[in-house]
Amino acid sequence: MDSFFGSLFDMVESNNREMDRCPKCQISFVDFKRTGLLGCDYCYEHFSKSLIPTIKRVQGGLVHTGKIPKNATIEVVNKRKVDALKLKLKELIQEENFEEAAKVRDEIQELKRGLEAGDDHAE
Amino acid sequence: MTMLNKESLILRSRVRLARNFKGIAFPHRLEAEVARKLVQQVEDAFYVSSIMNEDYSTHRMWEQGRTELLVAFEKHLVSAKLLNNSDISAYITDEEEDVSIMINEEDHLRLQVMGKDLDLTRLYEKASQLDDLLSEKIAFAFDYNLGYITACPTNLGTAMRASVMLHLPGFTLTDKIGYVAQALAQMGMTIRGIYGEGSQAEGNIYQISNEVTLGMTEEDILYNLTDTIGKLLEEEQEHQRKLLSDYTHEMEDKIYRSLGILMKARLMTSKEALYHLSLLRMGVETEVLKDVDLALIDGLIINTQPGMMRKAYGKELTEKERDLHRARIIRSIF
Repeated sequence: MDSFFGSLFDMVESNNREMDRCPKCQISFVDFKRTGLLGCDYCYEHFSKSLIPTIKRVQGGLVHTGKIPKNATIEVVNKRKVDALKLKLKELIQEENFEEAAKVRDEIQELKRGLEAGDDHAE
Repeated sequence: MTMLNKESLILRSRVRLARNFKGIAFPHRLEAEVARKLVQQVEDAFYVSSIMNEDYSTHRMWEQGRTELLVAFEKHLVSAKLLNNSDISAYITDEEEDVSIMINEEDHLRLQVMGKDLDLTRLYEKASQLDDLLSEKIAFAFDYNLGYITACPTNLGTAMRASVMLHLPGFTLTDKIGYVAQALAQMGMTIRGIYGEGSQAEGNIYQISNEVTLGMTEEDILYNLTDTIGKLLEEEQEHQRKLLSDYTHEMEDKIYRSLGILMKARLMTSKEALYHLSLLRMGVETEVLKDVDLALIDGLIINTQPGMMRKAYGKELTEKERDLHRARIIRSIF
């Protein structure tokens, strides 16, 4: 919105956002802007919309591709497997190796079914 | 003209991983009592074998004297932030002081492993093993997309900072540090002076580290740093070689004058000591000086900082006393 009312609306909106506090640690977005520090791990969920531009500015990407914890949930481990297999699938299709690609596709679908089924009793 | 191996330009290297307890507020939002309990929890997760008990020990910062704190800081065992949090912070270190697990820094945990060469992968692997050990008993805050969760968004993802402290007199004397900084920034890395304030790094000692922590794997970050620093060191050697061949007498004069001053001076400020020790180091790197040990020079760079001087003399020193003792320590070496 480019209009006067639009910018007014944006101001009110951003004001509300800044007064908003994390329900777990009570830190506000203004506090974060002042110190550069969040208050707890839940802040990243609570302020996720407002934080994305900051993260984009200071980081190389928005998706973690490095180490996952040794005690990560099966869900995390399998999600990572699916991501790796998707890359592999892409390569196989480019190589026109459709027989292997079909196998990988089935593997992905199986893992995905497991992930969906696991949602009900996730850790 | 012969020169030492390019890795002789490295004073120390370090890899550190930040980790936080899941569901617990970051240290700056914790009551002292709760924060101190976390130290105990880390110990419970860490000292699981007799080897650990023998090799490692915990230092609670709130039980330490000012001198001990400053010495730990100058040895790079603890960060300024850990010092600042000394009413709630602690560190676990090994006998060789290669490992330091800082508790209640900006994040709950900073696992740091130190070395003296460009083998950052070895340092990372050691830090990662410690991380695995701790994660058997502690659930760390982790998000599938954001990776390891840290108090500051600049550390998200791998939460890994790898850094190399290096001596770059050639780049500095030829006024090229600015270009290095620009080039590194474009590759997601950063450079800063270690001692002194402002743009001129005292002692020509700098630290290069990765800026980006999210979106790249640990292996890629380490490969980029190692590769870039390796090339930078070669270029530094080129600068030194050219300085020595274009201005042979002037450079030799500078180096030997520094040696003379270090051998004879009666009063020396920290800034002056760093200046001359840097020239001396360059003399050794370019093999103008052949019978001086680099480890001795690096030892002096650390041992003539204020906290170490206090420890050596067991009392608070005035500035003049420090300058007097500093000159004496240096004379005892050369």
